[in-house]
Amino acid sequence: MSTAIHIDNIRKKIGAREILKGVTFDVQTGDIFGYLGPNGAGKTTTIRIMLGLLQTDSGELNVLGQDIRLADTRMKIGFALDPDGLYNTMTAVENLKYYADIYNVSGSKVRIDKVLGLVRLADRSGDRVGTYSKGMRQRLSLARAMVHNPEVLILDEPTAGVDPTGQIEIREILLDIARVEKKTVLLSSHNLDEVQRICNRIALIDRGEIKLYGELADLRQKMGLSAIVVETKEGISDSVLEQLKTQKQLGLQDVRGSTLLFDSGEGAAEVSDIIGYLAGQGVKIEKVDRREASLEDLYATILKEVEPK
Amino acid sequence: MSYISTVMQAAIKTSLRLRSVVIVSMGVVFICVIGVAAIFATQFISPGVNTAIPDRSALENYFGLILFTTCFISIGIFASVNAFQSLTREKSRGNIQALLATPLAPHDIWLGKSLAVFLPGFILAVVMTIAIFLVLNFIYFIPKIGFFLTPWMLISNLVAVPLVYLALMLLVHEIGLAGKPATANVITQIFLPVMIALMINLVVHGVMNAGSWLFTVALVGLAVVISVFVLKLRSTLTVQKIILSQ
Repeated sequence: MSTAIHIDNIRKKIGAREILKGVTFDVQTGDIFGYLGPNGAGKTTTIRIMLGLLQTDSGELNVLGQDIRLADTRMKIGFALDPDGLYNTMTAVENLKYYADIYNVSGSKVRIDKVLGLVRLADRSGDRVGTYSKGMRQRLSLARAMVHNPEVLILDEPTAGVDPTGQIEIREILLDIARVEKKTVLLSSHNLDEVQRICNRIALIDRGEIKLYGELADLRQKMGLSAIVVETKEGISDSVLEQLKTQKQLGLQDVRGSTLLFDSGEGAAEVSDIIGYLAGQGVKIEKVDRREASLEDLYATILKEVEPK
Repeated sequence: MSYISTVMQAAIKTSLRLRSVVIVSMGVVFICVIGVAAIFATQFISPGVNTAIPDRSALENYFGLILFTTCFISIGIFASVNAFQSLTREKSRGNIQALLATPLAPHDIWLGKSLAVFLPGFILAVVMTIAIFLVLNFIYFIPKIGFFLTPWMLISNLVAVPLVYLALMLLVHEIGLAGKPATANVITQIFLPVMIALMINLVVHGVMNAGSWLFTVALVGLAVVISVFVLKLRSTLTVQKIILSQ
């Protein structure tokens, strides 16, 4: 698998404020990459740099191995930005035709029909964009990003301001784009649920620094947020708890009232071993469950760690 | 060149579709042009042609002035309204940012947008100037002294005034793109009344004859001065500067 977007130690100062403080990550070909972070973290600045809209103060950036400042590189990138930059007085087809002309798309009519079908706007293609809902505008932005059949899509908050039904629709379209059209997608988002559902890798930025980066599944494991949850009927005595702590192979993580949390995943104890040990100690078990940490847990944990004291 | 033409065509299409803006600016142009032409014609042309021996130089001066104000108001009002639309709206709605993320260079956008604002105003100015020229000729000149025209009148109004506005549009788009659109809008709004007042005063006080070569040279000189500013500011038109000024 090759690298589609390579960002190495990028720094960017705007005015007196250092927006990016050495951002480094790679997006692999075929990834749906989630770029997460709170407001003001530096997401939009990174995206603008990736699109050649801002220059870096230092560091290295290339897209598909090429300098982003080259027109040829930009031909291979599709984008959706916030604000969307669509023309309200033009129809969807006219908006797409404008960009198809800029990208010099041959047979643009066929391509425009195809991308409008892909984003499910074929029936409203002749309407002026000023009459569109937010969700429809976002879908048209995706169509515009796709009109020249780029290899990489860079999307800034593609579901921002869209109602839940619209968000589901956009998620489905993004998955279609990535799987059927075989595009590499980088999307920035606040929507943790969305990122969790469609992205295979993420980077979390806060105050201009990457706090978390990698495969979502690995990160969950690494952060120790996945667990086997054992709810006991009456809690456990201090003496049993002390003994339990000495049983390192069981991997006790935490005790929350009458609930015990054990490590899960690779190398962790089997559920049957944990239950067997507890039962042997006379602990009455109410319920056993396996909890997968959500991205929200990761996000909250990381941001809590960097909270200023 | 094809990029500039693509941007220009799209910009003309979007601005002409804002019907209320087009109707209001055309209405203002018609009222101003007809009003000014009627006042000058009844005050100066009518008494001038009705004297025993008409003073051709004075007639040339006032007729030239009428044509100048007609052309300047037509192109000026239309251009200033559309420049405001083009710069302020497109910058705030992210249209410019989106275009800059494509293979377009800032100069393609700048030239395309400037021409899109200039060309409709130029066509309107040509139509209005020729219309006023013919109407005044048929009402006042042909019955008394015959068809009245000097080549400098034509060159001033069909070449020099458009050159001034082309340079001005390039300048305000440059300022509006790399800086604040509000600054560019103030320049276009102020330029029209200041220039009209200045030229009328120069002509009425006998400094220049509005139908003479000197008037044409003065206008071309003004276009050159504005163009020098355009060239000086050209280096400010970078992608980053445009984005950060949003």
